[in-house]
Amino acid sequence: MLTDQQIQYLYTFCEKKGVHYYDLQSELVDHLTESIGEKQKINAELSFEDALTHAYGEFGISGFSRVIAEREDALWKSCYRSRWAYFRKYFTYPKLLITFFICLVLNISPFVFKINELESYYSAITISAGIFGLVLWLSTFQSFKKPSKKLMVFNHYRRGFNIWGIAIQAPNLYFWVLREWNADLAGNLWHHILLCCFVTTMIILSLAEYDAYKKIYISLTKQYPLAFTPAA
Amino acid sequence: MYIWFVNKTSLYKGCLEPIILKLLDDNGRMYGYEITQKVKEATAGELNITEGALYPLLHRLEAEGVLEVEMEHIGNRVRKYYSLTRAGKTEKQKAVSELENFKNTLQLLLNPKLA
Repeated sequence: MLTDQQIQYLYTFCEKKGVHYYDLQSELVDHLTESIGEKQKINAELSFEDALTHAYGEFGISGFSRVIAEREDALWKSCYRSRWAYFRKYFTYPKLLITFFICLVLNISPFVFKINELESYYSAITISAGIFGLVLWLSTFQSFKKPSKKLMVFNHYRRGFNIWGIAIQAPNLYFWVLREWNADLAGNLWHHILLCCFVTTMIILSLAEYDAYKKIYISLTKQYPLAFTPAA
Repeated sequence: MYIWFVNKTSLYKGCLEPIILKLLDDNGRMYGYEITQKVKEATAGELNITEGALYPLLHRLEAEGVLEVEMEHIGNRVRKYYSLTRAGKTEKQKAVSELENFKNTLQLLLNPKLA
């Protein structure tokens, strides 16, 4: 059994050999620990440093570099898959009902509240959707703090999320596309319905993206709790 | 005349995936070092999986949804266990079956039946 200092030495060793991420370091440190332990069991006189040299040699001429490169490649695929799985899971039956309800409210509000200035109404709902997405995105910085140790998997997930990028499409569509084309939304019921549905979709997709990010973050904090404790 | 040297490692390279899938199916969950030792033990030292080949394969299989991982704290470090997903068990059946066919084909080539 290696001491805490020796384990820390192995983390530093991995860092020096080009493994800068804690998640990959942990896996390699565990491997090296077992390998060193086994070698010292066979030959009790073998020093820790010599056993480490032999254990590292078993990774071949390229050392850790192939493991690092392949891990990066593999993470793109696995992060996309996890994100998509969590994203899909968001759309349960109650959420679909809520989506329908929001869509209905947006569609019938002008008629119920007798809103004549429909252009103002469309500006308000699309800007509100954009602001909602922005607030949601900004809240991720507050709620989901960066880990104190670098995690390759966290970096990949963080790069892939685009909460605000989804919600901003609502004002983008209205101000930069429909108004530029002078589309007659107010005079056409179908255009009205489609725009309201689009705004609803952007809100719900932002929420689904946020929910997926939250669940992945929580799962990472459980897998690597030491990486999320504040640095001493 | 030339002398043909057959590299044993090259012969085993293509079999690594079915070997690992079979091991994980038989043993439930395993961690990286354990896999290398089990393979060495099962083949009486004949096959030594290099860590440089094992971990990229495990990570690729994890990315493809064939393996799932579980982290566990062992004393002063974290251990990553791999196990087969449901899709992994299907993949294992396919891989082992392909290896079996390959073995049978080789046997036909190496021991052709005389007419």
